[in-house]
Amino acid sequence: MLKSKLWQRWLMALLLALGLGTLWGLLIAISGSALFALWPSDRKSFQFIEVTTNGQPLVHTNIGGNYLNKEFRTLDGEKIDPDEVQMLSAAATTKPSLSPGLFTLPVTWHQRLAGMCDYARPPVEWVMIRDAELSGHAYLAGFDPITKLPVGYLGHAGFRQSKPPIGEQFDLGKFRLTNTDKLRFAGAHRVNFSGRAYPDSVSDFNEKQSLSVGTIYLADAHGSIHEINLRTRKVRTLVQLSGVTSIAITRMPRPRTSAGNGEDAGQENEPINGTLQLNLRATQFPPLNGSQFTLAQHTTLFVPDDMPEVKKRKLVHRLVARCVDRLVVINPFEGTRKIFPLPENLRNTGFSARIISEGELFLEVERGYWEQGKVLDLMLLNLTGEITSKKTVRLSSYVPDDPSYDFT
Amino acid sequence: MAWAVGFVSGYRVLPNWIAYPLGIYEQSRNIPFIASGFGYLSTICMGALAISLGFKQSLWEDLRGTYYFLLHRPISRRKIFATKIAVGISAILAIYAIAILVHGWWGATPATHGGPFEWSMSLVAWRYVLVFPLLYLGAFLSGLRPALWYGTRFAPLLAAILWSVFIANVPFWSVAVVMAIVGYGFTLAGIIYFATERDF
Repeated sequence: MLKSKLWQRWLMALLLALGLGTLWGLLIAISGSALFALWPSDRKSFQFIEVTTNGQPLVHTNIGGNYLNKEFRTLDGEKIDPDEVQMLSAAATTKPSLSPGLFTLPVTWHQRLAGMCDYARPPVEWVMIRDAELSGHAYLAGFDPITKLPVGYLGHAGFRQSKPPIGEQFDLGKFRLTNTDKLRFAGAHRVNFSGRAYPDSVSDFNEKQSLSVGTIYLADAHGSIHEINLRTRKVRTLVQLSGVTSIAITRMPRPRTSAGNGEDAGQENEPINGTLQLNLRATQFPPLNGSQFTLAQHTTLFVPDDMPEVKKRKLVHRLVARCVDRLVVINPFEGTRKIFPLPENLRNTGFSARIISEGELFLEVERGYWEQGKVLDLMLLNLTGEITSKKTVRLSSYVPDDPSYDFT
Repeated sequence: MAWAVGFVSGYRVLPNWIAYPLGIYEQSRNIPFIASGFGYLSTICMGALAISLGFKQSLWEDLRGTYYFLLHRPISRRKIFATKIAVGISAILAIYAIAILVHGWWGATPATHGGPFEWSMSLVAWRYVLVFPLLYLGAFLSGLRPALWYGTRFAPLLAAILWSVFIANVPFWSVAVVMAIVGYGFTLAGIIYFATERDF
C-alpha cells in the first residue's frame, strides 16, 4: 500500500481525470465521425441560390454530396435545364468588423504571408509579407521558382530591387493575411494564405473572379483599391473610397445603350480569359518538384501575354467594393462607377450581390442556422438605395428525393 | 541517437526517399517552418521519440527487473530518477534543437527554397520545446505508475497529450509557458511520489 498525503491524492486524481476525460473525448469524436460516415450519402444534399443573366433566381440543389448530381428549379418549383441558362457570379461582401474586445491576439507568421503567381513564362511567384504590428504594412516579394532567388519587390509605388520602405508598403491596418480577411483581395486566381501559390495551380484560374491573368486588387486600410499587375510589375490606385470592408470581382450582363436598341455600350475593352481557360483545360500540368521541373515546361505551360480581346462578350467584369453604407460597382477598364446606397438594415450585415444591370443589384442575405436549413432574404436594390422587391426563401440542409421549397 | 540521425537526415538529406513517400510536400518549394512539412514531421517524430523514451526509461527497468539493481545503488532514489529525467529531456531537446537549426540554416541559405525567410519564423517550432518534455514526463509517469494497462495506466500520458495540445495552440507565449510549468509540476509531482513511495 502506497503512503500518500491528501494533496498527492488530489493531484493524481486530477491528472487521472484529465487523462480519462481525454480518452472519453477521443472515443466520442471517433464514434461521431464513424456515425457521420455511415449516414446515407443521399441525405448530404444542400441547396443554394443562383441567378441567371436575365435576373431570374433559381434554387440549385446538389444531391448526395455529388457536385455533378444537381438540378435547378425556379422559386415556384419548375425544373430548369441548366444548359439553357447562364448564371451570374456573386460578389461576397462582409459587414464592418467589430472593434477589438478585451485583448487582441498577436500577429503570427501564419497571418503574415499570402502567396500568388503571375503565371507568366517563366513565372514569378509573389509572396505578400506583412509585418507583425497590430496595425500592419505589407509588400510583395517576387521569387524565381527556377533559380529560387528573389527577383524584386512591389509596394504601392511600384517595382523596386530592394524591400520597399514602410512609406511605400501597403497599409493593411488591422487586417491580416488570413482567410478571414480574404475579401480584401480580389482578382487573384488563388491567394494562398500562409504559403505560396504555385505555377502548376494555373488550373485554379477562374474567369468569374478574375479580370486578367496576373492582376490582383487590394483594398488597403484607407479605402484605396490598388491594382497590382504582377506581370508588368506596375501598381496603380484604381479608386479611393471611404469605409471599404471588402472587394470582389463579379460579372454582369453586357450593358446596352440607353436607346434600348440592343447596341453595345462602350468597348468593354477587357482582355479575354475564356481562351485562356480553354488552353488551360487542354494542358496537363506536371508537378513542379525540383528535379522534374524544367524551363522547357515553363515555356509550354504558361499563357501568352498577348491574349486576344473579345469585344462581343455576353458578360463583362466589374469590381464591387462594399463600403459601410453603400456598394460601389466599378468598371476598372473605363474608370466609371455606380453607387448603390445601402438601406439602414443592411449596413451591419454581410451579404452577396449580383449585378443584374447597371441600375439594379440582386442581394442575398442569409439568416438562421445552417443545420436547420438556410433562410435567405432575396431582394433587388436600385441606384437610389431602395429595395424594389423582396422574397424570403427557406432552403433545406437535408433534401429529400423530391425537393420542395417553403416560400413566404 | 539513431532516431535523431534518422530524423535529421531523412528530413533534409533524403527528402525524395523519405519525406515524399510520407506525404510531406516538396520541401524545396515551401516556406521554412510556416508552410513546410517541418511542423508536421517534427511533431510526429519528436512526439513519438519523447513518449518512447519516457516509457523506455521507466517501464523497461520494470519489465526487465533491473530496478532492483538500480535502486540499491548508494544514492537516493530522487537522484537516480532526476538523472534519468534530466538525460531524457536533454536528449529530446538537443535533437529537436539540431533539427530546427538545420532547417533554419537551409531556410536562410539563398537559392534553396525560393521564398521569404526570417529566423523569427522558427518561433512556431520553438514552441514545441515546451511540449515534448511534457509528453516525455507523461509517458514516464505512465510507465512508472502501477496500474492496469486496460485501466488507468495510460491516463497520465493522455492528460499530458491533451495539455500539450493546449500549450502548442494557445496564442500567447507567456500563457503557454505558465501552462507548461503547471503540466511539468503535476507530472513531476506524480513521478517523485511513485519513485519514492513505490515498493520496487
